[in-house]
Amino acid sequence: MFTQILFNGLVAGAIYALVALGFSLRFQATRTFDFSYAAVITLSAYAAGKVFEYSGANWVISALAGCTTAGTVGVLLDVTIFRPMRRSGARELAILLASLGTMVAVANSISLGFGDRQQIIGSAVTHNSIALGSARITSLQLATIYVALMVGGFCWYAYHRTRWGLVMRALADDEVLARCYGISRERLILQATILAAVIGSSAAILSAMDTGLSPLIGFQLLLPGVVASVVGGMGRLGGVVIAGCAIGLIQQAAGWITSAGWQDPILFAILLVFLLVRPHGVFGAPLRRSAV
Amino acid sequence: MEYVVHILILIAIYTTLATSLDLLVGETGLLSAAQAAFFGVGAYTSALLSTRYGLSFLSGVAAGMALAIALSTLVALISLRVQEDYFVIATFALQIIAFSIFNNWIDVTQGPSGVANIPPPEILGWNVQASGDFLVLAAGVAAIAYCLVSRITASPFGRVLRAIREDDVFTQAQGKNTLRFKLEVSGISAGLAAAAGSVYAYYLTFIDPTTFTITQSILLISMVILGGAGSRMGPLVGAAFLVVLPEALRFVGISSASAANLQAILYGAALVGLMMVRPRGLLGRYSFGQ
Repeated sequence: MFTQILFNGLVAGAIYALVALGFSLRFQATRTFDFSYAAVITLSAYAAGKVFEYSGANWVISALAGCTTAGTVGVLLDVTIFRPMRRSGARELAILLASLGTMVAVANSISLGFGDRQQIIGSAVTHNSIALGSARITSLQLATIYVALMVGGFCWYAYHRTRWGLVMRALADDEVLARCYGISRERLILQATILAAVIGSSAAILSAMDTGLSPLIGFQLLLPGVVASVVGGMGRLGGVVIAGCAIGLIQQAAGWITSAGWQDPILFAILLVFLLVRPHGVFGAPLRRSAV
Repeated sequence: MEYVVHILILIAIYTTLATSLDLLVGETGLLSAAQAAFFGVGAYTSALLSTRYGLSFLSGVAAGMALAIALSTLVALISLRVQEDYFVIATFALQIIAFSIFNNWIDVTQGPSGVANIPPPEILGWNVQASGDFLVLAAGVAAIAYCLVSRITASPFGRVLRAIREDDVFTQAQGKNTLRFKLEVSGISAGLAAAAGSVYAYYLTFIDPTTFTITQSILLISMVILGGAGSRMGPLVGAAFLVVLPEALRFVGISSASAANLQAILYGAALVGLMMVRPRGLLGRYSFGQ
């Protein structure tokens, strides 16, 4: 039982870590909480699900379609809504509200178009399981761990070992100075948006394969993603990933000790305690008064 | 006719809610995403006290308001610690916790099955049963909320709230105890929302947790911002518009499930459009834009 919970927690945590990683990347670039991220990853999961249906259950094509959709939608939303707002000097709060509006509008458009019902995709292929000690592990769960490790490793490399990562960190550290060195903020935001969308899309597709598609899938993934981002320290990508895994474990343990219904309030109580006691998270640098 | 009265009662209840939220959002600059939680506290307190212990309407309202005011200290404490985006996220968390409690604390709230058979209220001998009577009650509560908020915003107290909205630190430097003001304003706001919740519970005679979700909170924020934050007529206009909208859609032959989706699409899009073009809303005095 214990190994099973540990393992399920790690798998859930891997998905939350991916979502939180994408959410934080976008925060790093734009300095705003972007709820439209939920819309982006929901659309990508639906695109992957639909392509899966019509392509005769071809995983590679569906995953590619999902990621392409995510990147495209992310860029389109940014260019049409958020870039003009940044240009006109809108406050972070206004951008947050606009992203909240985007999330609500997109989720309801999907539920209008495809219905509220949970749609199962490709369950037969993915749920054959192998025994590992006393725990049972499905091939989908193994794939989730694998994807999370690959994406996480890629991000770490891109962020800490490439010129692009250096520029991103410079922008996050001091925007004005970075621009003095001729760094184009808008171009970096677009690149970060695409990367974030693809990362989130992989999490949404894996989660949809496990629990099915619903219009709220993005929102339901975004919530633990936001908790992990704040607890890990907004913008500390390594910290955010650790927090994501920890939250997956805590959630599974909480579901085991109490009941599934109390998983959400426990996560959000953790978020609230962090915001009240240590708003910069475990790994983050203290927020400046003006930045809080 | 019955139908029109029903719509008017809903408009009155939502006007009370939007007005109470505007006190926080438009006057004090605290964008709270937890207003539906206080709405729920009022509704549940009234519903449970009357169905289980047979308490009267007025004592239910008083208890609901007292509980909401006590819980609202959390909002004030959050606002001391974190501002702007982080405040929104923190109240977001508060709202989700509140919904989970309504939904999961089955011994007390009866969980997803909700509280049914709430008896018609009796207020000092006035038996409120016909929908016309409920309209008088709901409109009365909305009028009290409107007058109270108008008085507050016109008073020196309201001026301090607007000063906090514009510059918290500067207001403290002027010798104002901003914690006290924030505690008081979030208490008043939560109390009014709880009163609206009581009226709502008695009117529908049935409540369940799905009314008090984060979506409801976002709807209330949209009402305030659409009508215009920081103006007295704004919340009324926003509430009336967003209550009538889905009914109007149903009138032109759209099913009520689709109408709910369309309503959400429209207020989501309106939120985006307003933030881009006119962040102060239709009648607002306070802008989240710049």
